[in-house]
Amino acid sequence: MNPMDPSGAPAPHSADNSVIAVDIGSTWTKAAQFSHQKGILELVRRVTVPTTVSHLPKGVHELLAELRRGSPTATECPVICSSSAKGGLSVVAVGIVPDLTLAMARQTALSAGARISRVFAYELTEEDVRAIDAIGPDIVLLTGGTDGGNREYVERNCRMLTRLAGRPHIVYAGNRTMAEFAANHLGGFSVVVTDNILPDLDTPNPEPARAAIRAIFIRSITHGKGLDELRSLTAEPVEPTPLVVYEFVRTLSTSVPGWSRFCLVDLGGATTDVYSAGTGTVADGQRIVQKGPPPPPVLRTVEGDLGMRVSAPAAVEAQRAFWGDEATIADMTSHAATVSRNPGHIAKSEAERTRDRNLAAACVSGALARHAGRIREVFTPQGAVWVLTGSDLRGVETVVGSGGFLASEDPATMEALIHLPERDEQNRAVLLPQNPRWYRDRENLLPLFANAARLFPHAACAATANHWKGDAA
Amino acid sequence: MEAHTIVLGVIGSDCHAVGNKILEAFFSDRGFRVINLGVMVSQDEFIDAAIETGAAAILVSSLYGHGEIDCAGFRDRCIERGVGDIILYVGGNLVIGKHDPAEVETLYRSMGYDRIFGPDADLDAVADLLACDCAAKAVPTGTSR
Repeated sequence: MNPMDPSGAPAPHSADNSVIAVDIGSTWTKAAQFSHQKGILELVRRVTVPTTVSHLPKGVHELLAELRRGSPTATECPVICSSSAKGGLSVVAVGIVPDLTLAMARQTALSAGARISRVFAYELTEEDVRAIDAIGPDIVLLTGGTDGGNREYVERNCRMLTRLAGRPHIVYAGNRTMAEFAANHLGGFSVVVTDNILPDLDTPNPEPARAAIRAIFIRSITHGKGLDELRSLTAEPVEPTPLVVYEFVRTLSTSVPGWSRFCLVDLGGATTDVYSAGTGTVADGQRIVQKGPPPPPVLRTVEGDLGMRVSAPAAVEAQRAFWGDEATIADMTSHAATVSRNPGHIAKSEAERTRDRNLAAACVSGALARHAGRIREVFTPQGAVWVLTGSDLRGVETVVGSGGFLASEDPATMEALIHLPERDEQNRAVLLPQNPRWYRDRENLLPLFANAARLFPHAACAATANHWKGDAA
Repeated sequence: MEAHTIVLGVIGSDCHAVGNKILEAFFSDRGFRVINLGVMVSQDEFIDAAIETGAAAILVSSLYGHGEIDCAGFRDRCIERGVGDIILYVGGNLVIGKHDPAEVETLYRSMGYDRIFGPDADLDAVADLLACDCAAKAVPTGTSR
C-alpha cells in the first residue's frame, strides 16, 4: 500500500523540482515549500494558520496563497496533503481473543493511521451495539478466527452489527471461511472484504486490511470532512497524517544508513504516539521463547491518556509513580487542571515551562514503556529460559521527540528529565532503548517531511535525518 | 473431508522442544491441521489458540514431572472460556517416580482430560483415537442455518 518509488526518482508531475507539503492538524494547519535538486531536499519556507474547522480547505488555501505570493516556483509545484483534523480516522476494532485477533486488529488499524475509538473482544452484546452507535466511527474493522478457524463468534458479531442504527463502513478481515457470510449478511452496509489479518497464529497479514482502510478514507471519509475539495489541488489523495508518518518511518529506517533502529515519540495535547522501526530479538524457541504474534517491522502505539493539554490530568494520574512525592504530584495536578482547559495554552512563566517539561518527560517515559516489549527469566528444570513478549527496543540507537513541545525543547534537557523504568509492575524487564541518542524534530517539520516523502522518498528521508541530527551537533 | 484442527504444546515451565516437534510432524502426516504452540505454554494460551482456530482438540504435553500442577483445572478453565466441550488429551511423564498407570489415569481424568497417555504410548493408536473422537464431536457449526 501507499507504494513509494524505491528508486527515489521524482514522480513525473514534480519535474519543477519543488513541492509544497501541507498537514491539517486538529489545532494548526501547517505548510512548507521544499526545493528538490540533485536528489537533495531543502526547506524553503514554512507557514502556519489555525485550523479552520468549519471548512478545512479554507486554511489550506490561505497557506498556499501565502507561499505563492511573489514565488513563481511555489505557484507551479505540486501540493501534497495529510489530515488528522475533525477526529482523524475513527475505527472500532472487533476481534475474538484479546491477545490474538483483537491485538492484530488494533495494531492493523493503528498502522493504517486510525484513532481506535474502542475495541471489542468475543461476542458483541446489545449494549456494545449501542456503544458503537454512540461513538459513530468511520469504520468498523471486523476480525476473528484464523482461516478455517472460529465461525461462531464471527457469525454472531455479523448478526449483531446489522442492528446498528448508524452506517459505518465495515472492513471484514477475519476467517476466510466466513467472508461470504459477512458480505451477504452485512449487505445493508458498505462492506469491504479483505484477506484475514491473522490467517494462522504465526502469520500476521495486516497489509490487505490496511489498504482497505486507506482506500475507504480516500474514497469516502475525506468527503465527510470537506477534504475532497482539495483533491483537484493535490498531486496525491489526502491521507491520514499517522499513515503518512508510519510509511515515512518505514522508509527512513530502510533507506538512510544509521537509522535502521529508531523510535519516534510524537507528543501532542491529547495523545502520545510512538513509532518504532527495526526492533526485535530473534527467539530461538528454546532459550528465548516469543509469546504472541511476532512484532511488525514498524510498530505504532497511541496513548490516549498521555498528553500535554487535553489529556494532562489523565497523564498526571497515570504517571504518579514517575514523580513519587506527593508535593510534586499535587503541583502537577493543579498545572494539568489549568492547561487542560485551554488546548492552545503556551507556558508564560519559567515556572510553568518547568512543569510542562516535567509533564512531557512523564508522557514520553510512560508512552515508551508501554510501547516496549517485556522479557522475564523463568527457571526451569532444564535451566534458565527467557520469555519475550512484544517489541524489543534494546537495540534502538536513536529516539526522536516531535510535536509542539518537544520540538521547542532542548533534547539534552529532556534527556536529563526522562527516566525509563527498568521493570514493570509484574517485575518483568522492560525492553527499552539503552543509552540512545535523543534528538528533536526542530521546527515541528515531521508531518511536512513525511508528506514530501510521498513524492521524494529518499531525498526527504535523508533531509529529515540531517535536520534531526544537525540539532544535536 | 476437512482436516480436524488440533492445538499442540508443552505446558508450564517445560521446554522439552524435541518431542513437541516430532508430534507436530507426526500428526500433520496423519492429516490433522496442527497448531503448534511450542514449549512453555500456559493453559490460557492453549485455550486462546483453540478459540481462534476453531480447534476440535487440545493435546497437552508434559515431560518434566510437574504436570500435575500445570494441568490441574484445565477443563474448568475451558468451561469458563466457553469451550467446555473441547477434546482434551494429555501425555508424557505426567508424575514423578513410579506410579501405577491406572492411578495416573484416574488422577488426570478427574481433572477433565478425555484421554491420558504415558511416555511410551503408541502414536499411531493415539492418532486413530483422536480421529475417532474428533469425528464423533464434529457437528456443523457457524454458517449452517
